[in-house]
Amino acid sequence: MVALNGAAETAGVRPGQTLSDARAIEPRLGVEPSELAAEAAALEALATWCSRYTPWVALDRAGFGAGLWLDVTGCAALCGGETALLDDLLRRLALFGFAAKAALADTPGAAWALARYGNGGVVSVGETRARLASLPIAALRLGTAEIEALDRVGLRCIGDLYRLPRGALARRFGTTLGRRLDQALGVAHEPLSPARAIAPYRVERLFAEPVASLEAVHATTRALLEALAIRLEADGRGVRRLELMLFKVDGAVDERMVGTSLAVREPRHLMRLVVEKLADLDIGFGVDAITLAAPLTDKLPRVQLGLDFDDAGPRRADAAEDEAALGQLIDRLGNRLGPESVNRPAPRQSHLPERAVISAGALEPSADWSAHAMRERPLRLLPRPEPIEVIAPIPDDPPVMFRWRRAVHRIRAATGPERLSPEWWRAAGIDAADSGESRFRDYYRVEDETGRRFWLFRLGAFRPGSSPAWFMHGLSG
Amino acid sequence: MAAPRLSLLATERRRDPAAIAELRGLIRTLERGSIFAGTASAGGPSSIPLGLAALDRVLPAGGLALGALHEVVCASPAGADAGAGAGFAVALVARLLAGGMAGPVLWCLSTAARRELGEPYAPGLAGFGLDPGRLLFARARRDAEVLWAMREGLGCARLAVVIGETETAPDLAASRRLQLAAGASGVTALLVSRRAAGTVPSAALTRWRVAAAPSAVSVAVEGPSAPRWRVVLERCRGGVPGEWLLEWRHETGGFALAAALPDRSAEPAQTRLAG
Repeated sequence: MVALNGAAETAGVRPGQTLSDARAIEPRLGVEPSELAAEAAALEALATWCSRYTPWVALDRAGFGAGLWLDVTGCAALCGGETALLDDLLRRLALFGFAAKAALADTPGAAWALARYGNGGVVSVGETRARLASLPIAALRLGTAEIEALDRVGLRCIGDLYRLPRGALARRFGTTLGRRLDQALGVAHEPLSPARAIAPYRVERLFAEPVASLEAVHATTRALLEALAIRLEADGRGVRRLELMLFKVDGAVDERMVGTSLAVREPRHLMRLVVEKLADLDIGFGVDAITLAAPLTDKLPRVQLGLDFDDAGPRRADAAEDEAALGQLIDRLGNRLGPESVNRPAPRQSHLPERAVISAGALEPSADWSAHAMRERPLRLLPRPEPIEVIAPIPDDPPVMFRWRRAVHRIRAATGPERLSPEWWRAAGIDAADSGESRFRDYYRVEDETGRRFWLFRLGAFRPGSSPAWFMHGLSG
Repeated sequence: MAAPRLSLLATERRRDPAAIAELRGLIRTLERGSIFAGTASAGGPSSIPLGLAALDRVLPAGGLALGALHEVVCASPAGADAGAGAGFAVALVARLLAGGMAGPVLWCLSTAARRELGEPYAPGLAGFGLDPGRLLFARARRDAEVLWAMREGLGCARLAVVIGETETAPDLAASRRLQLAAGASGVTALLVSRRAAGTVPSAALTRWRVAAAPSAVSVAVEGPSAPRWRVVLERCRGGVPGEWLLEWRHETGGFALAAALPDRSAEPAQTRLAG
C-alpha cells in the first residue's frame, strides 16, 4: 500500500501494508498499481507551477506523502500576506483536484511537521516551539526504528523531548533525533536545495483576474522587461539567457527561453526576441501569472548615449554600438532559425575535405584563411558524397562521362587525381572497406561540355574484377 | 520616412503637372535608393567598379551600386546553371570586398540550396578570391525564411553585403522590400535564384542571367582552366543591358572578357543558352 484515499483510511488500512493484509481488513478495497515515474513527474510539474509564488521550490520525495517546500521569505507581500498566500495556494490546488495540506512556519522542519501531523496554517514568528509540542514524534522526520525506540520509553510527543538532556538523547537514540529537533526549532540551519537553479534576476506579475489576450501578455512582458532592465542597469549587467514562464489557469506552465550572443539589456531588442518565441502561444483559458528570469547574465557597462563629447568618445561609442547591432542581428536570426544555424566557418587541420571546416560562433573573431586557400577545391561541398555512375576507359584515368541525379555529363576537361587519405584513426562511413581497412580517395576536377564544374572522386584502388565506386562531392562556379 | 512626404504631395497638388513630374522624380530616386545615400553611407562611394571596363561602362553608377538589390538568375529552368550562378555571385561579392567594403557578409541559404548545391566551402571560396573570414552563414529552412533573414540583415548597417539563395526569383513585393531595406541601411543585397522561371517583375537595380560556359582549352593548363560564364545583363535601371562571355581570374581576383558577343538590342532573340 503506497497511498490511500479517505475511505480506505477510515476502514483502517495503513500505508506500508501488503495487499493481502489490506484486503483482509477491507475486502471491497479497489487497487491501482502505483506509477512511480508518473508520480515523480507530476510532483515536478507541480513544483514548476509553484514557482509562481517563489523561485525557491524544493522537492520532498522522501517516502510516503511526498511534498514540496517553498521558501516564501519576502514573497508573501505580493499575494497580500502569508495567510492569503497559503489560502490562494490551497484553493488553486483544490481546483486542480489535489487534496493538499499546507503550513507556513519559521523552519522547513516545522512546516513539514505541521502540514503532515498538525492542522497546517500559518505559524507566527516565535510560536514554533509551542505549536510543535503536541505533535507526535514522527513529525520530526525520523526513521521507523527511532520512532519505535522512543515509543517504548514513553516519548510520544515532541514536547516530551524539550525537557530531556540532549546528551542522553543522543547517546540513546542517535544524533539524528537531536538534529531534526534543532532543525524544526530553528536552532540548526537546514538549507533547501531548489529543484531548479535560482536566477539572480527575476521579476513577476500576478494577475487578480486571468488575462486571455495575447496583447495583454505582450504588454505585461514588455513591462517586465523594462523592470528587469532597470535592475540589470543598476548592477551593470546584461542578459545572456532569458526565461519567460506563463502560468495558465489550468495549472500548465508554459516556458519560453531566449538566448543572446552578447549581453543585452535593451527591452526593445529583448521584446522582439520574446515576441518571436510567443508566436505559437496557446493561452487556453487564460494566464494568471507571468515571471521573467535571467538565469545567465554578463557584465554590460552602463552606456551614456550622446553624452560623450571628448575626442575619442563618440567614435568609441559608435564601435560599441556597431558590435551591439551585429549581436542583435545574430540574436534575431538565431532566435528564429535556431542558434546553431547562424555561424561562421573556421579552418581545421584535416586531410578530409568535409572535416577541414568547422562552424564557429557567429561573434567569434574571424579566422585567418590565407594558409587554407585552395584553388583546386570546389566552391560548394555537398552535405555527403553522392554515388554516381562513371565511365572511365582505363581504371586510373579521369572519367569521360558520368551520370549524376539522372543527368548525363560528358567530360570535356579533367585534372587529377589528387589522392586524399582518410585519417586512419577515424576511418568510418564510406572510407571503411568491408574488410575494415580505410581507403583513400582519388579526386578529379572535371568540366562538362557546357562548362559546369564538378569535384568527384573514386574510392580506393582499382581491383580487377570489381567496378570502383565513384562519388560526386562538390560543385564549382 | 519618405512615404508620408509622397502622400502629402499627392493630395495637395494632384492635378499639377509639375508636381507629377516631381513625384516621378522622387519615386525614381527612392527606388534607386539614392535618397538615403546622404544618411546611410555618408561620405562613402555609392558604387564599386567591377574592374572590367566593358561592364562598368554600361552600369549607371560606373560600377555595382551599393545599398541596392542586385539579382543573379541562373539561366537554366531545370537548375543546371545553379553552380555557375552561385560562382558568379561569389565573384561579385569578391569584387565588392576588394573595392573596400567593410564589415561581414551575411549569406542566407535554405535547406534545399544546401542539398542541391552543397554548403559554401570555405577553402574553395578562399582559393576563388573571397575571404571566408568575412562570412557569416544563416541557415534557413525555407525560401521565405531566407528572404526574412535577408531583410533582417539589410537592417544592420554594420554588414557589407547580404547574399541570399532562393529557388526562383521572389515576387515584386518581396524584392521591393529588400530594395527598400538595402537603400535605407546602405548594405548591398545580392539575391541568387537557382532556376529561371519566366520574367518576374522585380525592384532590383540589376538582374544578371548567368549560364555556364566552357572554359578555354589550353595546352599549358591540364584540365579545366579559368571558369567562364555567359552573362546577360537583362535589366539595369538607368543603364544599358548587354551580354558578355566573362572569365574569372583567380590570380588577380578580377573579371576578364573572354569574347565579345553581338549587341543584344539589335537581335532581341539572341541565343542565350549556348551549350
